[in-house]
Amino acid sequence: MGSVIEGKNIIKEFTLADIVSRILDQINVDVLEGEFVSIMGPSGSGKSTLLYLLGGLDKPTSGEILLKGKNIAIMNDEEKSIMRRRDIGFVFQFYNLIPNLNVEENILLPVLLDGKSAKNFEEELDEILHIVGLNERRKHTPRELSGGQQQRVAIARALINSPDLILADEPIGNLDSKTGTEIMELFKRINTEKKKTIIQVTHSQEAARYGNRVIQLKDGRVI
Amino acid sequence: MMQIILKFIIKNIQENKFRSFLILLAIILSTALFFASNAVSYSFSKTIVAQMKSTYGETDIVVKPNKDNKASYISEYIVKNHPEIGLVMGVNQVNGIYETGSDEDETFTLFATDIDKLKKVNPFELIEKTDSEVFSGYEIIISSSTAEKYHLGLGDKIKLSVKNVNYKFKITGIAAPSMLFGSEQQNRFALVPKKTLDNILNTSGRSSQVYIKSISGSNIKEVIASLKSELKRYKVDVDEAVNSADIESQLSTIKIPFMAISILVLIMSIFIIYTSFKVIMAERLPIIGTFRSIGATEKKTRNIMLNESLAYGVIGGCVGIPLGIAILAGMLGVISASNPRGMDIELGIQMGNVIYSFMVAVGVSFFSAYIPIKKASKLPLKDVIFGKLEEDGYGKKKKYKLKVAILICAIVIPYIVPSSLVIPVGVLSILVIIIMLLQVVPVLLRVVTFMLEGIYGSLFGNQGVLAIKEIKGNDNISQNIGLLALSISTMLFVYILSGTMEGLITNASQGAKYEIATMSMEQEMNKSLLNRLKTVSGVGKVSLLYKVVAKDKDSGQSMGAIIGINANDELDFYDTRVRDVADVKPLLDKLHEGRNILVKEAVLSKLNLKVGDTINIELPKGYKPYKIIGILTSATGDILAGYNYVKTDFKQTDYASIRVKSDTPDETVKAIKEMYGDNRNFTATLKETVVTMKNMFGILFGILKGFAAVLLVIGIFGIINNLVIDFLQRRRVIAMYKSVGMSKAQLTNIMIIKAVTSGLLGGLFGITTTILELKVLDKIMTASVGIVPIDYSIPLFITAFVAGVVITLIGTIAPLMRGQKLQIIEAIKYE
Ligand SMILES: Nc1ncnc2c1ncn2[C@@H]1O[C@H](COP(=O)(O)OP(=O)(O)O)[C@@H](O)[C@H]1O
Ligand SMILES: [Mg+2]
Repeated sequence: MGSVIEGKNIIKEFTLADIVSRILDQINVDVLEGEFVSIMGPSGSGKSTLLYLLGGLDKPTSGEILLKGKNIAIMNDEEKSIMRRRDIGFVFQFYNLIPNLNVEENILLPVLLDGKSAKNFEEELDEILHIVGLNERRKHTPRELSGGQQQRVAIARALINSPDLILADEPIGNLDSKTGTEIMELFKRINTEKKKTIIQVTHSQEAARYGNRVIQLKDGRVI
Repeated sequence: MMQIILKFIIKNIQENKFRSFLILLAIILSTALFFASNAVSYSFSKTIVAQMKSTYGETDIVVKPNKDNKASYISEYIVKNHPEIGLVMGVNQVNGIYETGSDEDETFTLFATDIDKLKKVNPFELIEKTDSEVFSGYEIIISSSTAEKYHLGLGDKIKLSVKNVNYKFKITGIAAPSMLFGSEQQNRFALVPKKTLDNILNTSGRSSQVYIKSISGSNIKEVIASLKSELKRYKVDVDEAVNSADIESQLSTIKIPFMAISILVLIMSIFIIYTSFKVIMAERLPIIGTFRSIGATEKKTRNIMLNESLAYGVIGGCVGIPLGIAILAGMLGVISASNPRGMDIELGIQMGNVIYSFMVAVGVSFFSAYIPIKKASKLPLKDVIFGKLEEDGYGKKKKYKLKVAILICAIVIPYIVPSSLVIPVGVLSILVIIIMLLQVVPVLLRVVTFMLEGIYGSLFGNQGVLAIKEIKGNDNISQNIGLLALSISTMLFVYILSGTMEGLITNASQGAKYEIATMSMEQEMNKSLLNRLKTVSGVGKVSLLYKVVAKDKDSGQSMGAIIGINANDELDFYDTRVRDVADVKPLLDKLHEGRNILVKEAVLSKLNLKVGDTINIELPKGYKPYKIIGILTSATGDILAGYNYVKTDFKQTDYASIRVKSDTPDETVKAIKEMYGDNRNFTATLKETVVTMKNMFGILFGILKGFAAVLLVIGIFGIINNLVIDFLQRRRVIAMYKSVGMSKAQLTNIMIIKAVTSGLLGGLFGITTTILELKVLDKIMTASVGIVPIDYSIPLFITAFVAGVVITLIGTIAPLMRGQKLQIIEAIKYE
């Protein structure tokens, strides 16, 4: 099986008030197609930072990140944007939906930004809405949904353009345990049925059990 | 704990410097304009009063022959001794022309009265004088400034022409340029012995005016009343010499247009402060929640916020009023400078106005902030903690329905009220239209975006659709559209009105074939005046006009002005034109043969009438049917009728004006003025009138345009502020868009589409508002001055669209650049 995303010697430093602090120190990760990887570690250990670097939302101080063998550092804005629409689906802790768009529109956003017609995605939309169980809420706005429902919309949005890789930053960190379990079940199904590669950040052992590999971070290093 | 809140607020103000600046700017500028508008008529009246006082001195009552009196002079001895009267002095005044040798002759006001009495009530200081003890014969006292200007000195002789007879006066005194000699902007002032002037004017010792000084402390109104009854049989008018209250109220119309725009500026300030405080409260909700949850009372939290708005008001008043004084000084300077022979208008500052304007500043700031503050502090704790500031959809909808209903009422009402009420109702409805339009912009926006979605989809693809969705329901954008609409409509209104007036003045003089128009304010405008006029040198043919304002009896609508003409000579005086009629004369003759009228197209379309129809015109008693026999295309008036019918039907004893032909218009005007003597009159050449009118309107509209520009500036700052707020509020959303793959180019496109669209919509709403306002104005004008065809200028409307787009685009530059630079993680990571 090929590698979907690979990080080589990633170093990330932040400079705050002239003090340089190294958050990630020579990290090497390689996630293969179909894997469901959980990044774990204490709060402040750099889990989110690593995930964002892998997704190209931030740039490493040094090191390389290869998405399907392509170095994302040399991409321009246009290419990176296309990568975010087509190759990666993001899910954040605070759902991060667009408040003035309804459920359908939020889900279809990557498609719309890709300049494709929403009409051609009706089937996919139906299927995904079915998977996340929000068929009845298509026309609702994010305000009218519960936290769990909003997170489902965010997951549906991450799926719409059939990306190879889904990155999730504490997707259930803000939800009650029952809803959290449901969401994790959903991720598991997406991983096994839709064959999507998933990397999640979590500090819950339970959530990590849904995955098949754990990357443990401590003091900026993989242990 | 309160200190912590206070600290928080101060920090909040510091962090939002631009917004605080905007609130202050709005209050300061609106207070300044409000103050200046209020003070302008007072300054005029103060100047006039000062000028009059310089003539009257301590005398406070004037007696002079009235309209029924055949004689122009009365004896001062008709005023009998009266315990409350201290001094009585007869006065004669006449103009004397001094040939200066240059183009412009100088006019002297020759003033004559008992010099000893004059010294008591209105003393003047002689800088130089000859030895002669008595002031008699052909002696004259001039001011030192006159002496300087014409290089005259003691003992010099000066030749003055009074009523076309030359007299030589010897200068025996030179007075300091103050008091009587203090206001020489229009005429030079000179004192001559009473006996001498009496001889020249042949008054046999009588006077054209009698000045009376009442004993100090007496009630002037009562003295006047008793004098009136005592002197009834002498056919005289008894008036207060200087009635400043009267003068001010007469002049108060000057301030109306300025006041109107100041009120618009105030409305805009209220709008800006209200919306700013809405945002401020939304930002502070978390801390309010925190403090409320640990026990701060609702009232205390509210009071702290209200004090903040009060502080804005106080600062606004303190800075705004001095600025207002500066603006007023500027306005008066412009007015004075533009008519060099006119008066220098002094700055008049009333304490009342200062206090009033200060209260307006504080009041506007306080009450605009009050509603959002109250709303936030009244919220149930739960909503505060969850940051819910918005009302639920249902309550909002109900309110919008009410607002739309009020708006429609305001548009319709001026059309259905009787014409006597059109002016106050119309003015009110213009204000209501503006306020309500601002309120219903969100609804209009919803409707418009709904319609635009499809169009934008096909025009700009998915990005267009996303842009429209960004606009829909966005408070900041609807506020911007409101601000744009208000600024643009005020600008358009002033510009269109200015263009209309200029066109009107130009049109009115086109086709006129006479050189001079004259009317008397004091004498009866009748046959005898006409005959006297004919004897004045330089006067050629003359023609009289009647003028009345007409109303359609059936609809109650006002029809404009009817001009009563004499068909026999009308074509010599005006190039009257009738649509599709080459030879107008037979048609004009018909005006005398029956109740026939020629009517302007605008009147016909207003009343839905056509040629051949008969209309019942309301008269002082009853009504009479008039038949429409043609469409008037020249600019004499709205309606032409035969003078004989206007005179009898409308019971007119006086002409409205007399038109005069002359080969030497300038000289003839002088001669006519001399014929009137002391009687107030308006006499001017047509050319002069057009120039003066254009000048006057030019100044008026120049200042109004300046006011409108101030409004626009506040509006632009408000728009920029909103765009910045919009960006800050949407940072997370933008980061979100970027995280799902919106590229910089796409972000730019969407922001530009948003900006252009809101600019265009601002232009559209602005133009709509303007048209609604002008429709009401049209009604007001028809009822008051006659039909004024408003010049809806297409280029101006296009400019409005362009301006709207340019303003929003400029305001979008900063958010655009910050949006480009926005780091996704910065915006997402930290809540
Ligand atoms: N933009 C930034 N600037 C400065 N420090 C940052 C920035 N982002 C993250 N950090 C720091 O990096 C460390 C790791 O952050 P993060 O990756 O969010 O941790 P985790 O997700 O494991 O809790 C923290 O100490 C945080 O303060
Ligand atoms: Mg984290």
